[in-house]
Amino acid sequence: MHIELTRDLEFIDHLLEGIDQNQTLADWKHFKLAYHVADTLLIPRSNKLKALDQLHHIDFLPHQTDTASKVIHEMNGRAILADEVGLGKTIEAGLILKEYILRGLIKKALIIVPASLVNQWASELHEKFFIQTTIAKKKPVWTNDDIMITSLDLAKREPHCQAILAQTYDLLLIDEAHKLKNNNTKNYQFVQALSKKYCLLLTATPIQNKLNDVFNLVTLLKPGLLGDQQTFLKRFDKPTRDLDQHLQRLIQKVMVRNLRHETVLDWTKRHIKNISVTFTEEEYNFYQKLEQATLGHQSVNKTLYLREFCSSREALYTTLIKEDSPLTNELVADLGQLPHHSKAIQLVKLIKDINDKCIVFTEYRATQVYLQWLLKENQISSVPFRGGFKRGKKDWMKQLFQEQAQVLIATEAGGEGINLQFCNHLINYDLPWNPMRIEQRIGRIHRFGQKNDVHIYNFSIEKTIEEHVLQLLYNKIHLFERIIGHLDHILAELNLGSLEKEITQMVCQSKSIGEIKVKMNNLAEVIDYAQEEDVHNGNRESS
Amino acid sequence: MAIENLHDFLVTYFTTNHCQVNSNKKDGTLNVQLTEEMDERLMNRPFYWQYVRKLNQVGSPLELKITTQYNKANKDRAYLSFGTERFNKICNDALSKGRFTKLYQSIAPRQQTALYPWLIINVKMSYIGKQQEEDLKSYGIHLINGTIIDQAFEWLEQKEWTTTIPDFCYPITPLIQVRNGYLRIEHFILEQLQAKQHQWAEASYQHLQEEIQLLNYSKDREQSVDENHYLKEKENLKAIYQPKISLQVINGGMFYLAEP
Repeated sequence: MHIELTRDLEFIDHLLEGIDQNQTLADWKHFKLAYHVADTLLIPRSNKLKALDQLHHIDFLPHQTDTASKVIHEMNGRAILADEVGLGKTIEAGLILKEYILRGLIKKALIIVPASLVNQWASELHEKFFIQTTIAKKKPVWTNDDIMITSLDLAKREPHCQAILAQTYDLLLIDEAHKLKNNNTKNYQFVQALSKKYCLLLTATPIQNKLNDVFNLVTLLKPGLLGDQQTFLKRFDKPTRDLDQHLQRLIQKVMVRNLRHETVLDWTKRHIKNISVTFTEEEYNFYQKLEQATLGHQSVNKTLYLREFCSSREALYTTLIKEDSPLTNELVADLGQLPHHSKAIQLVKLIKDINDKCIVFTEYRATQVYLQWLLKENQISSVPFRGGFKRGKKDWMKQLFQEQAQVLIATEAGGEGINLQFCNHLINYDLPWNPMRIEQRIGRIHRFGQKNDVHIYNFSIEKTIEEHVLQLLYNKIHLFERIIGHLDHILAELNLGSLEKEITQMVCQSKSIGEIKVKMNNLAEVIDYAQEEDVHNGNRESS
Repeated sequence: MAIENLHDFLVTYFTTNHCQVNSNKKDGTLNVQLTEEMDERLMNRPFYWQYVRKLNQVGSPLELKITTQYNKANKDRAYLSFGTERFNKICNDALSKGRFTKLYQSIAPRQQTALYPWLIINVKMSYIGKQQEEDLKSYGIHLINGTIIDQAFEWLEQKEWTTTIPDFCYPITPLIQVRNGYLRIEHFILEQLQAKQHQWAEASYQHLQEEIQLLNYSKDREQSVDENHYLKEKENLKAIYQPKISLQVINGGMFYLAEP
């Protein structure tokens, strides 16, 4: 074994120079001050976090400091932080970053986050942790020794890509790392090629159903830990209890996952209210017509029509006009005759009743625009929010919502990353068919920092596909009450790759409403059963 | 020996640097009338001072309003604590100003008194590997007879010091050259390090080997890993786990003592 030694070769020369040239040298007071400062800045001997002494103004939760300590002392700075949504992964990451900076181990770092979160990360790191960062803008300088925050899209574009790959980073931090699960994508290959000492991957949904994803994420951190891909997949593909535990142990070497029910945090409650809306006769007639035209066609597109119409006329219209056929033209003509959407009218009423800040989520942009117009007609101030907005605009919208507007109308892409703890009413105007996305939505307000109970309102229209999904599926599997956490795992176990695909198929392959209902019921029962089993056996995450 | 009370430290720091300080320990507030020099060092306004000089005017240094209590901070009064940018600035300033010294023991003898030369250095030892540790050591060498002592700082602290030679005193010229003295101390430190068991280093080295094995394994099995990336990854693992010891002199200088 060889220990590298670095000596101080400069000091004595400078001292002699100072004395020879009769420079003004320090008096005793200054000399003593310097000694005390140096002593203060030392890294502690025990496994303590130095950063905690310096961040008195933040009340860290026990699981957050434990996580930081574990990542630094046991995992040596390469870890997947996979806490459930809203437990403060950013805080944990900030604490780890701060500790390494204080220890002098990190000077140059690259933080890759979704474009919408760039500013939020920068301000959080600065305000909470006093960490100065640089946001990559038009002409970022990658060669500087500093902490750079960028989006993946910017980073992987030339000329930045080449410049970044030529750097060696002390730390690489990636937020929303579950997007890097596929090793065939450019994003993955880019991140894999980055040169880094420490590496933190943040994700709320680490085990997204597929072993392969797990393999790829872990391989980013520690190539070889899970062996090579083929052997790994062969070995773990058919789970047995022993193998499963073995895999868990391996993964636990690089992953920290705190679950809500394990933290001491006193979570505010969730109140769920399902609001059933009845179509007017005209609307329902149209819906039935739409159903006739779509059932049995086995076309995914057609199920989309139904969902869209349940959202708004406008959402359906924008799709219909793209498909110029006799059928759609006829539908468009009928659509034009319809009055205001019943659900939208109900929404206005609900928002007036709430009389407080609320977030409305919709799947469709056309609906978003329509709702904004309708709310304005009713003297309710609202701001839109969607993924396509530039960073600055997103921040601006968030601020407008916080300070002025009563309502924020967000489309799906707005679901990730913005933190709106100051608001505690969330309206699911229409529901995504992917339960993970629902948790993402709720996570925007029901998170660390929320002081009030959270109210969630789910709209569904009677006797439509919406009602089936909500009543027969989501309610049965207790989607809203339960903090999802395990659902991804359960779906994986049931070999249900994506619930969204499953439902879409179910609908488009069924020939009658009855058939849909029966199938939906079956699915719900299977999931519910698996959930109970899971709770019964003690799920594998906490084992 | 570390700073125990930030507030007291700040008061000392600013008064040592000739600033007027009004402080209230109870609510953690400090109002500091900066000197021109301190304004330039801490306040981040180089252009102001550049213009003032160019126009041959007298600049007016700012009053610094800070508090060491987070909840007392507001728009006009910044929060200062360990880890804030301003605190880091203060630390760097204190470290650079107190780096080199030449001091004489402050005594008032009635007759001619010899002062014996010592070289004192305070050195930060960093042990870097899987775990990281740091230590601040203080050594001194008698430049006449070559005696080396440790914990020199505590010893010096018990005496009074001045930057000018006291009356009736005369400093003795070192027999051992200062540079030589420094090398002797360094040699002394290295010998001590040699004699020690470095279990932390063993553990870290062991870990490095394991990590490299894993990496080799994945390189052998997967075709997709390219050579360049493999080498970089290996370097990075070394950067984390390769055991290192570094010596950095925090400060030091010549001290002339009355006792032989």
